[in-house]
Amino acid sequence: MIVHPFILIVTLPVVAGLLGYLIGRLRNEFSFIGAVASFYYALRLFIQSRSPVAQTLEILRVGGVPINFRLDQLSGFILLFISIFALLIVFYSFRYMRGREGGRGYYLYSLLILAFASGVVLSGNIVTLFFFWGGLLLLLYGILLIGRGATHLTARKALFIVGVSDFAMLLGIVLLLVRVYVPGGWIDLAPKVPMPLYDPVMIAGFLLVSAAALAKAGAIPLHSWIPAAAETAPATVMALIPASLDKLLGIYLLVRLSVNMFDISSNMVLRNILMAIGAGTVLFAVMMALVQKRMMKLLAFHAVSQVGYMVLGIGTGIPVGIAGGLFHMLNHAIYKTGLFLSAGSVEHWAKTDELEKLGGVARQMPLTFISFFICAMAIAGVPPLNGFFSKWMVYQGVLEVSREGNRLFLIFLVAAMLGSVLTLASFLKMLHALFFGQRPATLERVREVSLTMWLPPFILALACMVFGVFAYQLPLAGLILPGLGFYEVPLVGVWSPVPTTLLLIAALGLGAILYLLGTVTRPVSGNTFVGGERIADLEESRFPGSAFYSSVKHIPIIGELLVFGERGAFDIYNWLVGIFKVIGAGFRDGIDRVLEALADFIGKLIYYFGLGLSRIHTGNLPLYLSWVFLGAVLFYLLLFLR
Amino acid sequence: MSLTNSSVLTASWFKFAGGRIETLSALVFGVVGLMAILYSIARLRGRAGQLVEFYVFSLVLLLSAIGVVFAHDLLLLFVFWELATVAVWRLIVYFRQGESVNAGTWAFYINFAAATVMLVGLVLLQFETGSWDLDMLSGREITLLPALLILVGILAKSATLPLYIWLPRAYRQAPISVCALLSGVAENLGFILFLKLFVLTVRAGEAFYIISAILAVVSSLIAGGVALNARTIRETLAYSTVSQLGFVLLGFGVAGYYGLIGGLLYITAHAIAKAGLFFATGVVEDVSGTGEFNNLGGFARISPALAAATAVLALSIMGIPPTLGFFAKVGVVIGAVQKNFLLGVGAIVAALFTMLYISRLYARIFLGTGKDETGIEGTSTAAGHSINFGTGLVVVMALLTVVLGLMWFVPVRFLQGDAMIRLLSLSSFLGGM
Repeated sequence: MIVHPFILIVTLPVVAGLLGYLIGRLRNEFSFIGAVASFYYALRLFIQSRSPVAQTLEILRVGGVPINFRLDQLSGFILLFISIFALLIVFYSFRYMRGREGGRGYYLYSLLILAFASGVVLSGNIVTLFFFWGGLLLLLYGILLIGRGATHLTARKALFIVGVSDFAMLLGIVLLLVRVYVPGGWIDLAPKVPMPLYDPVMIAGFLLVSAAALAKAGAIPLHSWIPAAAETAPATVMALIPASLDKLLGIYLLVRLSVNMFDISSNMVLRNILMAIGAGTVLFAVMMALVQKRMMKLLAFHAVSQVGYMVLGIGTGIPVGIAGGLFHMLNHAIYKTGLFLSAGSVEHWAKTDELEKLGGVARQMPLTFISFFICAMAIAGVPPLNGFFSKWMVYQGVLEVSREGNRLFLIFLVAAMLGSVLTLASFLKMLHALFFGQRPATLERVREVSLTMWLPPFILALACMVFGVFAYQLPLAGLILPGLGFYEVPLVGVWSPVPTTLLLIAALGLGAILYLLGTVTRPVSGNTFVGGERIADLEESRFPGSAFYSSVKHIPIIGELLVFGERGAFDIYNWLVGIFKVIGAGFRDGIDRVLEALADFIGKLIYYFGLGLSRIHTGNLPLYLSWVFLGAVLFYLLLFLR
Repeated sequence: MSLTNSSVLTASWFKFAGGRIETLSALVFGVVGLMAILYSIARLRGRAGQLVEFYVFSLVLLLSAIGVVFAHDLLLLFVFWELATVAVWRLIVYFRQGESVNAGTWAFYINFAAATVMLVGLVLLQFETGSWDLDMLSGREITLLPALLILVGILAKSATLPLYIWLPRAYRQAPISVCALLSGVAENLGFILFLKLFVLTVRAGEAFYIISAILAVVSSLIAGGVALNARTIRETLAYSTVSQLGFVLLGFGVAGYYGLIGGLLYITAHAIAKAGLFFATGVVEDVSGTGEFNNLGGFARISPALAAATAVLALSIMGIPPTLGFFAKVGVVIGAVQKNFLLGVGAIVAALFTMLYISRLYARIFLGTGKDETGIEGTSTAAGHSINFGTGLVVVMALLTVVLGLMWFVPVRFLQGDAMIRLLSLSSFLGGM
């Protein structure tokens, strides 16, 4: 029997994960087999998807709603990258997760997440998509329970925030299903012609569903579970979910919504909303990242901040901006996974992720350092790396919007560019804190991690370079533009990465030659001189990077906002849960307790009434007879008086 | 015997009939009843309480539930209805202590008083239409007054605002198997009557359905709010039952194709999941000796199997795929939005309350650090036996939930074959899609 690859790619990781869970000794092997099988079928499907005709497979049809799979150019390439990231992260985890708590559950959840994420991307209509999308919620809860510290609080936060957005999505889908039903399958994720957005019901549906996409990607204000997860979850979980898969899925859905299902360019208000969310996310999260003192949390805020560029790009509604947003999603997943994994390697030795206690390991961990450095430069948007290229496209999209008479574009552009500068600043802080500076005494015995741990980030760093230098030839022409169905995107700015790179390499080579020739002044090393005393203890004079930019907190207004942000004042979870709890307490005291009291009162009333009546029942026959007599008199009086 | 055509057994008013809707409901009640009795065999034997009476009256409850489901005459239905009230009363007072007698008395008084009001409604209905036979009543228009009077009885039996107050008291006192029987069987009976009478048989005017749907949403919201602030497991589950039953009434109250199928799936999902959650509560109470959140925590380490199975049941109540509760919730929400967008919003907010209080319940029992590290080893053999058995039952319920969730189209297709639902689907907006 030949099983369709659509089915296999969703079921094989589940089977492998369950087997690995049941036979705990072989869990690494089973997980690897599952991830490789997923990669193999993803690659096959990717090659199949290169033809412009989409393939569909209907599983069943219930109540007229088809449950079906569909593969086109967009889902093909996203599917491929999902499986690549999962494979690299599973490979990395073999060593990283060894000896950590919750390993069995970790592999099971990872593979189930891989399967469900593949299901989301392959779904042919929004009802099928919602099934897999909702399934991811429970897997997110499960995998966030793994880690150290108060994991259940983190997991509950994620469950609620993502859950709220999922229920919003359910309402949106139902609204569209009921109100905008068009015979012939409206709920199709990629209808032949996208619908313009002018009908209020349609706009409400669009907003509700895109809330789920934004929450999955991690845009403000639905982001707060990501930094919280960074405090408890292992680095691999952060790399798997907020860094790569969630971005791919969230932005995938947003692109489907605003390009395939609806035509977002038809509504300037919605575009402004999306662009404002994007620009706000960039700026707010990067400010929060600047002042972080723990590396995973710093990276997590960047994982939020970068979403801003994707949303901003898609929100422009201009082809170049949308393509830039989608390209940025891919780039971000590549370098952020690389960053989390290489930071995880440092953490693996240091057993801590506090910047204060880290530093100076560049010489001991050269491969990890190179991977981290390239990924950091890519996220900061240093040319010719990939992050620069996609941000460049997003900026162009924002500029194009101005031609349609949008006056707000300047704000968005400035916010995005400022965000880019601050990103570079915060990665300089991180590079210093992790790899440069003085090595603390606790890290004396650090050496390079094993192959399984340095290779995955290294591959990702290479991809950053390749996707940056050959941006036109490889990702844009091969993946992004066909995926969006755009065949010609006018790029306004002139940026030719290949010659620039050659020039850069030449310049760097020249510098190296000059350095080796020794014409550059040799550094002179000497002892630190402080008031005539020799400082014996290096540990005391160490300058960790954790306090960089703390002075930002002293800027009026912004500084105070940041301090509030640190305490969770902008955390929508605290707000919502607080509101729900207060409303609930109001219901309890105002309605439930009142009803109880009322019932008790009525009960008492009946009791005392009965008590009063029982007083009359004395067992005395003459008394009863007199009651009967009185009653009879009353009866006859009533009868005759009428 | 074909299930699509109603099979009729008649002797004047002694008349039973049933299609696929009735079969599914009876099946669910039977399964939950069986599980509750199995649990009680392990848990209640050899301890204080009226065991023989428990067996007799749990069977009487099942009998009357199946009677209510299949009765095709309102008088006959009322007889079973009152029989169920008596059975519930006797089950709640199982322990014969002051508080449990008090709780049972409350349950009996409120149900009995409301049933009396309902009887007046039934009599008025008889005056209006001249019949109690559901076949004769089919398609008739009735006025608002008898419908509202009958609704009072339904609200009391199915523990909906404002007549739910007997329920938290009962759950505080009754043994676990009785709680499972109550939420899995007895409390659904009211809505079964609502479905049979107001959705499938007569039309009571638009206002009546709007009132029911609004009442359902409000009841669900308020009970959800109370559950979020509860201090014990039983209190949370009691108000959770009220809030979940609101969804069932919402599904039936909007009286459409999707709401109907969603409501029936909801009864199925909720009965299984809530009974399972009660068995889990029983195990937790047996091990730790308390049901107060402040003294609980860290159970996932004591019993991982129980934690995993309870998680599945909790997901079903929250309505997260791939459990059956998800599809039920989707059906109800579609039905609600078809009627009015605001009803759908209310249902979603109630679902968010559900999510919060169920995740709170789960976290307080299973996660974090336990205040008291009593293991299963610390308890006596008899208790250990019932704990293992209870855990096994929870696992069975969880498996049932997942299997039904993955095979959700099986009950849906089964229901679509029902003659009455087919009729409804023709008039429905989305039916022909």
